[in-house]
Amino acid sequence: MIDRNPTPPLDRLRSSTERSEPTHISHVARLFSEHNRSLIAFLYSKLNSLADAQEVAQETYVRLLRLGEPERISFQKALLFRVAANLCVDRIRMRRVREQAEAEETLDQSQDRRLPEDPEMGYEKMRIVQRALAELPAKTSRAFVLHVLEGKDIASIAKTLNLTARMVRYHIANALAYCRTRVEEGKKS
Amino acid sequence: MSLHDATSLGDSVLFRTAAEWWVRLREIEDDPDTLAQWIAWCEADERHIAAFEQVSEFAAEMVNLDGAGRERLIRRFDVGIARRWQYLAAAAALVLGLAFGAYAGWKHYFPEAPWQVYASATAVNREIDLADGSHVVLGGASQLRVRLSAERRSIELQSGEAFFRVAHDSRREFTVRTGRISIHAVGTAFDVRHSGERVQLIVAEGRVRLSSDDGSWGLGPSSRPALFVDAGQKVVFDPSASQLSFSSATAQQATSWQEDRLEFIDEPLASVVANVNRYASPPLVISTAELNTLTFTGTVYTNSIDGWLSALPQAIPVEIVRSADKVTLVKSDRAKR
Repeated sequence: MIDRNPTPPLDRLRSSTERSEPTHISHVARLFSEHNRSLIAFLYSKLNSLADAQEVAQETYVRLLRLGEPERISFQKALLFRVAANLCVDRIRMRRVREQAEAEETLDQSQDRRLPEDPEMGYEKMRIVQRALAELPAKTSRAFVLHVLEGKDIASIAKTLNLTARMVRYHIANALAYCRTRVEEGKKS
Repeated sequence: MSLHDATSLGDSVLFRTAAEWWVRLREIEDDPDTLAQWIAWCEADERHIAAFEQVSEFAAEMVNLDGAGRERLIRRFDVGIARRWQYLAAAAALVLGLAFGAYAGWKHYFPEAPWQVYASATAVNREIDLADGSHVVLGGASQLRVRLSAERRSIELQSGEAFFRVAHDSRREFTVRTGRISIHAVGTAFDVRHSGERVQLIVAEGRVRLSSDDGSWGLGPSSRPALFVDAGQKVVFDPSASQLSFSSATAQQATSWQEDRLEFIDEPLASVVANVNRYASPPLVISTAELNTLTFTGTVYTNSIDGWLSALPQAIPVEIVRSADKVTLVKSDRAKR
């Protein structure tokens, strides 16, 4: 079970922004208590790693604290998420650059690399997912595989499958929900 | 209907909605309102965000899937990839059957800097020295554009053929993009020939890495294993023939066109004609569609294309019809009705 609401690291935040006004900090603290859960959920859905999500959330709060002139900036959740979303984009880009650089350097090894924190999906789970995808219409499974496993973007999948972007999202969401339900049912039995 | 059934139905709607939000949040850069709507949905009911978290957890497992399991799913459910390609050190020829969709648009991720365009006239090879010290020889009627920045060196070969000798710079990857394929090099020498949708790559020195923009052939930006091509290797991407093939080639074959010899091995006639046309005047035209996929193996001397044309009917079933503004290739056993 993933603990999504750890104790707020406000002490750490405080020490990193000694020059911040007390109201400044309380603004950010309020944002934290009201929105941290959705912020982490948002970041996790983009980064697919809880550790990365927590790091980016941390960076977001630090950034907000460092923003000058707290009287002029009203700390809204929109700002919180916008800063976080930008940090997300940077991190994903950095990931790609790092992966490419690593691929360049290690020329001879077989490249079956996996991030250390991500466990391989269990064999039984894999079988359930495979069966679930087989139960779905071909286009649905294909859209899912293209986007989630192969990382293709919605627009290019739409061209490949000759569908609208909206339909592509519809298929992917269907497959995602269906496979997940199957896996949960498998856990219960 | 029992309470359990009602809850299950509500649950399935809930998780289906959560799944849709997960998909919509994937590309919110295009739509800032989506994020606001999602936040509102989360705040509407605590079960919403809980469902979203659970869907994200499952989705993350799928995204992070690696190894044989991932390959198996891709192979089975993405019809476009019949077999996952694995790089072999031996100089063996591999042919994969692949089905392709339409051409995918290319997004510019590069910082704003002007492109420098270089083009060559028909039958004229052109030498170009780039600002980073790389050297490019552009074939006849070919065009490419270059953008060098502090982080990367980007080339787009829009048409024709070019031989690249890349100056070594480990800080900046040298990427040649043509068709849907990108060729990444650090310091090496290779030849790229782009005709229609077909791309031929021969590596003369060093090693390059391949990727495709839309992740086709499993060659996404973060594909594992990465696909490398070594010196002495030739790769042909031909979407219209659903082909990705590997064979061996000498460095000389990569550059023979610079000595007025175009060499073709099992090349579809449409591609042969497209390449010969970069040195031919008047241009060649194929009139019978069947001829396009006929394969041709041989050498065309760019300074005696007429001679080649005269001899061509002996090799393949064509008739040459010459007129003032073009030369037409017609299938020779075409029945007159």
